[in-house]
Amino acid sequence: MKNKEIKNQLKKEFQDIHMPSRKEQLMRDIEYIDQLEVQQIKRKIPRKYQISFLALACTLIFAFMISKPQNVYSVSFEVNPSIELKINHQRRVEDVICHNDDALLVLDEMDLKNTDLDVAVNAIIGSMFKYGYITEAKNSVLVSVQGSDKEAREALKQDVATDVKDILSGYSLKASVVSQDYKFSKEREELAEKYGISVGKVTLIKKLINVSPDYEFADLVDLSINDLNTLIHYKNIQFKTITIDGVESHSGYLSDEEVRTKVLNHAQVTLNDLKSYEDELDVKNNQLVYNVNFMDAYASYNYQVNAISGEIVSFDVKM
Amino acid sequence: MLEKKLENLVVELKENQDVLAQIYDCMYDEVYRYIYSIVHNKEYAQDLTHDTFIQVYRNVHLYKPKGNAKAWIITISRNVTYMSLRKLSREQVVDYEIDGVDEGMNGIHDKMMIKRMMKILCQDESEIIILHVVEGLKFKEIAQIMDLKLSTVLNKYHRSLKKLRKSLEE
Repeated sequence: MKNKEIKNQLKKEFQDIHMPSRKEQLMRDIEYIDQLEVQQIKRKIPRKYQISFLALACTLIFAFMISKPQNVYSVSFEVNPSIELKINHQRRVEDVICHNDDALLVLDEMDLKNTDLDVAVNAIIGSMFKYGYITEAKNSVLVSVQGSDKEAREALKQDVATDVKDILSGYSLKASVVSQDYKFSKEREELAEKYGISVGKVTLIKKLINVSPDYEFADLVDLSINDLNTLIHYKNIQFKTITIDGVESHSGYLSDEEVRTKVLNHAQVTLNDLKSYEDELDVKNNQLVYNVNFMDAYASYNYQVNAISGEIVSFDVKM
Repeated sequence: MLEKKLENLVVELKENQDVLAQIYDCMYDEVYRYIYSIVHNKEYAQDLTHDTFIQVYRNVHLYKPKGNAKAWIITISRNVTYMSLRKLSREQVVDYEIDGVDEGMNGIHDKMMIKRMMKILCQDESEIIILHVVEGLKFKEIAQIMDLKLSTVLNKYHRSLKKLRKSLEE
């Protein structure tokens, strides 16, 4: 059978498949959805209560204007592209904020306003994967939910984190999803604006510094989410308010063995000559580095090696 | 001709919800066939077809008229389907069972080629074949819908036809 015959046969067989029309049901459902939305907008109020409600509404609007209440949730995604969605209680997107240029590329010409949150998550994560921001080597995604109602934002966090994980597993990628939720903080908002990152990343770094006070905020701000996730894992830090689902990828980093070979070659020390050797993952100048200390019979050595490029950042030998 | 008509209807839907009925008439069988090829269950495919048109209605304000209304609707149906499949697997709710290859085709004709296709091609491959051969979409549109590179779509398409040809020769 030739290709053309196969195609014709397939076409013919498929065109014979029909489903019963559900047009009437569809139109009824559409009408129902419209009614529901209208009802949500203007609930019928008895005339005698209308004036009181009007006064109350004016007061609330005034309070809203002066207090900037958090009546919507913010869901942000940070890989390196940093995108924030403002959503309403119906989980529909009201606004999209790009925190950096990579985010603009990811969003391309997508208009996500008024879409359902799950549709927007699908589009954003799919695009991050398509543009190579999420890969086997960089598989960590930070999901952050901000809102005033603790229970609601926890449920939202869990749903979005699960969606992200599922979407990426659909691309055969095992992701590590770091998720957290928190209340609005003016200080964190200001830091996010200053450094051009999401409030979620600011919060994650702040929590990390709380546990490891040796780090400065500016030391960690340029690290990717995968770097931060690796650091958390390496230092065995457990957070009460952060959930990490899945293991972060280490394939983009040098292994302990590669680091050892590199520093020993540089110092011209053989394995047999080693008296002691230890290395530790650390941060220097916004880079993940291995801090390596070793000794042979003649000297003690200290090296710092970039964990990704393998470049020797600094070394010191004491005879 | 149909593409042009569909495009106009989708644009009109932004202002007039009654047009949805006409869009449904134009596309429901095509959407159903495509979804069926993914889920292999008549009832489930019918429900998802219904959901697809609800989403078409709810998201029509996002449609940018570029002459590809059909591809846009198929993209929605694909998203609706995979989202539902993910949800089902996450909740481990088995509301729908997968039909045997023979079921779901009963009462029509002998769907020899479809059965063969479902048996020997993987999901991506049969989707590409259906979208191109049956729905008449361009490879470029298919690449966009499935989020694959054009070269991957072309490779998979030719490989699938070869597989089908070979299985017929055996």
